Amino acid sequence: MRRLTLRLTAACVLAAAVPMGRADAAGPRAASATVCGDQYLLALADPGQIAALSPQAGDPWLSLLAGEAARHRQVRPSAETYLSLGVGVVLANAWSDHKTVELLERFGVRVVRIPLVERFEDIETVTATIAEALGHPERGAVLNDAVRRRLAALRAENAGAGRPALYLRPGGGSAAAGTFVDAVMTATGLTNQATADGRSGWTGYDLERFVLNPPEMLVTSFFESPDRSVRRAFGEHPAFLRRAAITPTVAVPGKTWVCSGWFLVEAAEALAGGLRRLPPSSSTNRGP
Amino acid sequence: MRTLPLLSSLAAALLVVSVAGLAIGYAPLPPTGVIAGVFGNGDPLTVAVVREIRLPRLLLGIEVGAALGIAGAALQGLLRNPLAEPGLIGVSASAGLGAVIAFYFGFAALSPYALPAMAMAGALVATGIVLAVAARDGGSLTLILAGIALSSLAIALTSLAMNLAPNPYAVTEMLLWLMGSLKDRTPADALTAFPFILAGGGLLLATGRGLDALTLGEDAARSMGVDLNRLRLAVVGGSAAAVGASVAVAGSIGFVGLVVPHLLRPLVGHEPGRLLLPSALGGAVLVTLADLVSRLIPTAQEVMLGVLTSLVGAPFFLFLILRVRREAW
Repeated sequence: MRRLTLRLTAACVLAAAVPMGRADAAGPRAASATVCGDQYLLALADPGQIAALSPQAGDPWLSLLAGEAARHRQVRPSAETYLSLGVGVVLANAWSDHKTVELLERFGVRVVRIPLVERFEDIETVTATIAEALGHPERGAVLNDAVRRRLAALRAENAGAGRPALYLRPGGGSAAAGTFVDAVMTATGLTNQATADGRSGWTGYDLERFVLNPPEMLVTSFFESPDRSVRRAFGEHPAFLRRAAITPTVAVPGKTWVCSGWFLVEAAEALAGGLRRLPPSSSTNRGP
Repeated sequence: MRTLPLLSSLAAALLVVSVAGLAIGYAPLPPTGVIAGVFGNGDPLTVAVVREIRLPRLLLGIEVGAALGIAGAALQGLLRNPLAEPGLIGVSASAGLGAVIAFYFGFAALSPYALPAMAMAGALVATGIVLAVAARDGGSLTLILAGIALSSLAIALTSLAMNLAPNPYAVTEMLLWLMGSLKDRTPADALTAFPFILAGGGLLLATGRGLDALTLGEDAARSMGVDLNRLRLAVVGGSAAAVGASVAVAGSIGFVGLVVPHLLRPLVGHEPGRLLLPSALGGAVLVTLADLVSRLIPTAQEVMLGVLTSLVGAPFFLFLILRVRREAW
């Protein structure tokens, strides 16, 4: 169902923006150097505009539109590659590949540095900027409208009903007020346990405090990823696993909030869907 | 200093640090609750924290510290060089390479012993190479340069293995393997490493008489009935088992095998055989203490254990190099 919603949103964006009979609307050739940019490019650009996506674009654990990405070339980010592909616009992370993007700009390529924004309002601005850079500002407006409508429906539903929940990644990483994870949780009506604990921003929990103050509900992400990592020690520790097994848990696919973008609405809908499937009242897990 | 008082003092220090390691953690627990918790009594949540989180971490710290301490002392005795240390001569990095291959290519999932086995194989190859180099030219410079080359190669191959895996977190994962940590380790980790560290440590302890004889030179040792080939094999095999198993579960923790034997050597009359057991205890004290400090430093992310041992060990290493050079001149 969510997949269908996703396809419908993308189709609406493109259908609303591309005039009948003009399949190859004007717009610069564009490439993405990051999985975040991949999702924007696939949602807003014409297929013919897309010169290259990032190497992670086809990773089904990281990239929401991995299926669509399979139809496009995926290249390792490098100025030389983008220039040889005749790219006019490159979408990159604001915090990485500084030398590559500086070099591209020297060659006249427009680089859109996608910032890590934490609020849906700021995501709208990023979407509009990217859509304008790709030559399709109207598609940005349509996408923003669609996201706004879907979020409004979630807020009205209030699936979380104010219940407290703790967000955790396999390494013990969490997120409190001021993060896009908090924005998503709040949109579904959940109370963020990390914020209630007096924390803010991107934060982390240690096993001892988790055992002593187990949350009433868990919102997990990236636990399903097949990557092996020594950073997952928290999530693989028996002290965590035993308690997580008796705690109501909603697992939100990591690919829906691998970074902040229009697709965060997918994370919010996945979260709300998981909340709907939970029993009405969660049992406490104060046991050892 | 006689051996027994030294061992008693080190055991007492280990006991104090261990009690502190159990009592101090991320969550404030009453000392009486901690003591009761060790024996499974009292508040179930306190019992869970003490027995499931703090105790495995403490036991692993003792195991890893003892392994690194005794391996350093034995290697220094065999090579008759105070700079021989598992981290400096590439043994730890090579063990890390074996562990990374087992971990990221899925072998570790096949058997719980695949990870330590691969790490020990890496350590065995590195120790063998170092021994071969030292046999041709036993000078400190050659040993250190060979160690640098071996470490660099092992680190490069580790990085390559992670890139090929493929692993999206290669950079941060590298740091975890190179700097070591005991954070969130499980009882299973402590149990997996234990038999190999025990066997390796036992093998190294048995080399004491041979190492003492070796201080008089190879010919003298031979005339005293020491089988040098057997001695070398025992030190190489014992070090590989102990260091390999510890790196497999905690990553590479540097300088423990350098600092501890050096501090204790004057207290045992510069007899390498008598240095082995005190070095194991001293290593356990140092690693347990460093792990405790890593928990106490109020940073957003826990400080890596290897960072702390290196902060102590690297200046010490520099001092030692200058002194060895001065003596050589």
